[in-house]
Amino acid sequence: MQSYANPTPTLALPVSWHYSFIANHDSITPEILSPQERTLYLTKTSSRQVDFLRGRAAAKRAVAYYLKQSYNVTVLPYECEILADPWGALSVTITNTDLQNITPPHVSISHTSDRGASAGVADPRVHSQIGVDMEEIRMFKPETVREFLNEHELKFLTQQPCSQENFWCTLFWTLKEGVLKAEGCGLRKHPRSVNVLPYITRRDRPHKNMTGHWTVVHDDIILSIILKTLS
Amino acid sequence: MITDSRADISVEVRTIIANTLGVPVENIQESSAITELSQDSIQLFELLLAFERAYTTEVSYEDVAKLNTVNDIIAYVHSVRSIH
Repeated sequence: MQSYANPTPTLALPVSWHYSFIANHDSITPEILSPQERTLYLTKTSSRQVDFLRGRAAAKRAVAYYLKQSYNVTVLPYECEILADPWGALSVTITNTDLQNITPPHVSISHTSDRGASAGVADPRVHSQIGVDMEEIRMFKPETVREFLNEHELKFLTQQPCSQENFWCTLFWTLKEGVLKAEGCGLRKHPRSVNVLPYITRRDRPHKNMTGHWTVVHDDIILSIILKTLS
Repeated sequence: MITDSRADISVEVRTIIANTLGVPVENIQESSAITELSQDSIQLFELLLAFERAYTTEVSYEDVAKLNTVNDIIAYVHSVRSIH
């Protein structure tokens, strides 16, 4: 019996993404996690375990979808191992020895509070990287906003209705974190250094090698997906 | 008063984390990864800013953002103060 629900809203994009919400997590970890992932899972606190499992479930569905579409092969969740460096940069390994010739896709995962997780994959054959960030629309501390937005973004924010401030701040954050994840540095690089205003005003691309971005707003959740082509 | 003692720096660093994240200082272990202590990326960013503000002349955002654990931050601040 499948014990996790997944609306799987796959979009017709150059990337694929999946969303997961998991209940009864302990009982399904052997179905989803590789042995090494399970070892990591057991070191985490209970709330972190849920985040970890949701993120991996979403990512493994996205990877499986990509591999099915690209190579017509089926990969079970526990055969797809996704490990992170200390700052969250992810690498994917397919442990099924029959599929060693397949180059796994690049993957990015995001989760937010208790609302589930999303993940996106990008085709490594087109030399691309992906960054995904999902946040619940929230109130930011004014001093935090002043730190992560640059001068032009702050000016844009002041021109919006006050009632929309939380939406715009959250959108800015998801775009910036998506870009930083696609660049592989995460918050090691200051978010202020990433100019995402052009994404919103659609004048041009924020970075010369950024090839696409998509934002999905559903209820009080904002999901931003950034695709970067490597030069 | 600025102190060079590693033990005092440990208290300073753990107090900054506790105040920023709203958790008891005794719950913060030196071996903890700072990405694990924060609830989400926004809180992690606020923690990095808190270190930058607390150690204005010693630590930049990028300095502390490349460190992984509480112990790494303590050691970094200690080494910077030793040089000065």
